[in-house]
Amino acid sequence: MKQFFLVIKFELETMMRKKSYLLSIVLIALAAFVLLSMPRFFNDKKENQDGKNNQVTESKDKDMLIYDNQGILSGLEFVEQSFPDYNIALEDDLSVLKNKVEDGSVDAGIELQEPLKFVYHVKNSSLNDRTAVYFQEVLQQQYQVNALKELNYDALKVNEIYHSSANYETNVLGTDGVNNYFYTYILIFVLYMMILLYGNQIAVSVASEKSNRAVEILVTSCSPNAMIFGKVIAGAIAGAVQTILILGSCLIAYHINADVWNHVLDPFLNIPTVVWVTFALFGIFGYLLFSFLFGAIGALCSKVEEVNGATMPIQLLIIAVFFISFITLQNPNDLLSTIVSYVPLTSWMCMFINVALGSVTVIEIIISLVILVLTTFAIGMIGAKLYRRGTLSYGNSMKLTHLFKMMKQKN
Amino acid sequence: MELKVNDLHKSFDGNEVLHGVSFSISSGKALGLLGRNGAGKSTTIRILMDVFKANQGEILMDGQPFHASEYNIGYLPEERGLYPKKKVSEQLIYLAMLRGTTRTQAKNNLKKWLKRLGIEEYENRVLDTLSKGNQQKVQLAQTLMCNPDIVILDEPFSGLDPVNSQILKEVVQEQIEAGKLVIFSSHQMNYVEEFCENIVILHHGQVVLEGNLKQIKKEYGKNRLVLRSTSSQEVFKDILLNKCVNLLKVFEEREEGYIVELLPNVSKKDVLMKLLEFGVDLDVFQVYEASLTDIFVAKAGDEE
Repeated sequence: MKQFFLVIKFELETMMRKKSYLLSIVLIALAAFVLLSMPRFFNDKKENQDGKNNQVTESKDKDMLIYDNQGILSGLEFVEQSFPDYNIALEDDLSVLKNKVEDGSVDAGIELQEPLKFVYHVKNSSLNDRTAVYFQEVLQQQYQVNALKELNYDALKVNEIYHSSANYETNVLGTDGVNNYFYTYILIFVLYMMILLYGNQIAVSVASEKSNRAVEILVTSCSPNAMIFGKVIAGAIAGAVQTILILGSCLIAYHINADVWNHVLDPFLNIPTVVWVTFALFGIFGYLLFSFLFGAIGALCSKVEEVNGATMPIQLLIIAVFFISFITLQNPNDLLSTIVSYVPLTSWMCMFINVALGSVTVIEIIISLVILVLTTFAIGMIGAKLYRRGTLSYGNSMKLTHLFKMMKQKN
Repeated sequence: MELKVNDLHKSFDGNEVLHGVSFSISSGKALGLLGRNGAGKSTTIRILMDVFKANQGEILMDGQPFHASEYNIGYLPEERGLYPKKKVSEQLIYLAMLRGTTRTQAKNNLKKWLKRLGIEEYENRVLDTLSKGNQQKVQLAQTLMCNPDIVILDEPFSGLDPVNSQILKEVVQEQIEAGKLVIFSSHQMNYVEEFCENIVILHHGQVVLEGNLKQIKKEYGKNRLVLRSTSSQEVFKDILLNKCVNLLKVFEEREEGYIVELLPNVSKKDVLMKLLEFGVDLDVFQVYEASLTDIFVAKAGDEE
């Protein structure tokens, strides 16, 4: 047991002192902070722009001429509201309007042909030019007001009636799938990234010990069980610390900026305790299960460069589980979701989703957890055996058949 | 302490690499474990260290089954192995603690050994910033830090310059004099001759020679002579090769003379009389003292 704790301490120090570990925490936390604070900057900018626009209204640095020989516009009130930065004037001569647009003395020329038809004259068109679209709205608005007036209706009242909306509240008596979906999605993604990143790191750590031959000293000084369990658990702790720090910084950043987000994420952050507990338990054991596999695979590589290729099947398996979890996310109560919630290779992700989004009883959670824990322990023991054998086998990379042979060997 | 290795057999994937290896060694003596590459030395050592289990055979310490984990063993593997990116002190203390030493004790022993090996200034340096020779000394410090009862050194002199070799020689000698049980594996025969009272030569996984080195050398030179003549070398060679075929066999031609092996029932006097009869003017006629290299080549050299 003493050796086990020594290995954990040593491995933890090694991982946590790495520049990449510290930098990734700082950079991701910083990025999360900046991203979550973005709306504040945009709002400030918008406010500044609004202020600027007010000033622009006063300065009105653009010119628009309108040719309305039929008197379709009863006044320029709507046009001025929609085009606050334009000096707007009526022009009786269409050719004058066109000439002024052409020589650039006015920026926009509108030729009204019918109550709902106009021509927009512009010297050079641009993708960002919204003048025609805005004027289309003005004309429609003017048409509606005129038509309602002819029928003796109060246009303001009618507008109010058409834009009235009904309010509703949802009273969730079971699982709140709508709110839970968001955080479940985030948490399975966190778990997925954690296992992929740290699993690979464990494989690299084992392979590098083999590559620099430190393993020969280690296997003669320490039991392989203490070694592999210590390494994997140290990786789990390092991963958990990093995840907690990153998620924590996200939460702090959100709380600081909650007002600019209009507290829109508040309901999603009220994660029920049972979901937290399931996430923690299934996440930890799922992480350990795959880490043992990564450790054992690392022991079969003679060089660090071989690790990526060798761990590819495990990585593909994790990606497959991730995709299966998406199916579970959409249909948490169907047969497939129930089955994958018990299979240890998928339950670490899928049972947690079922708890958050579906309807699962406590006994079902316990059964699935027991299966996962036992499988993790069994994989850990096999991993230790492979570690012991694999670390002292140098030369060509091992094939899968060799791996199974090793597992069967007594000595 | 007396360690006895009896009839060890070991196979990998059906390929037998040890075919009944047996030898013994006592405290205060060093055993030279010799053999060509792939002869089975490292496998034997790894079985001793409990890295591998033997398929057959036993290892006894003072008559009781030997388990490496129950003894304080200092092991210097042939393939040097430490963490290149870690500080010297950090990794040596960690490895010593894995072997049961307390942190304080490990720190004290570390200082003692780094000083003894002349590398105390590198205590807080990262390993791969040191020269190859100093890395080798760090590896030796790791081996001896826990004051082991059994010391297993696999090629300890590789990569060391003459000055560092001298320091290492003194350290190994100290270990032997301190009554440790030392197993020494090396291809550098001069070092084996200096340290080892007993040798074992392995060839293709079998012990081809085992025993007291002095005795072996004596036995090996018993029927061999060094002969050199001031007469014409061609004539002398012709006499040895063609006219003395019923008395001796020319074993090797060297700078110091011809090494010849007497045929059974032929005495040194018979050879001397015959050579004088042919009028050979001898300036060297002496009993040949074999070197360990000679013995090794004879026992583990290519069959052809």
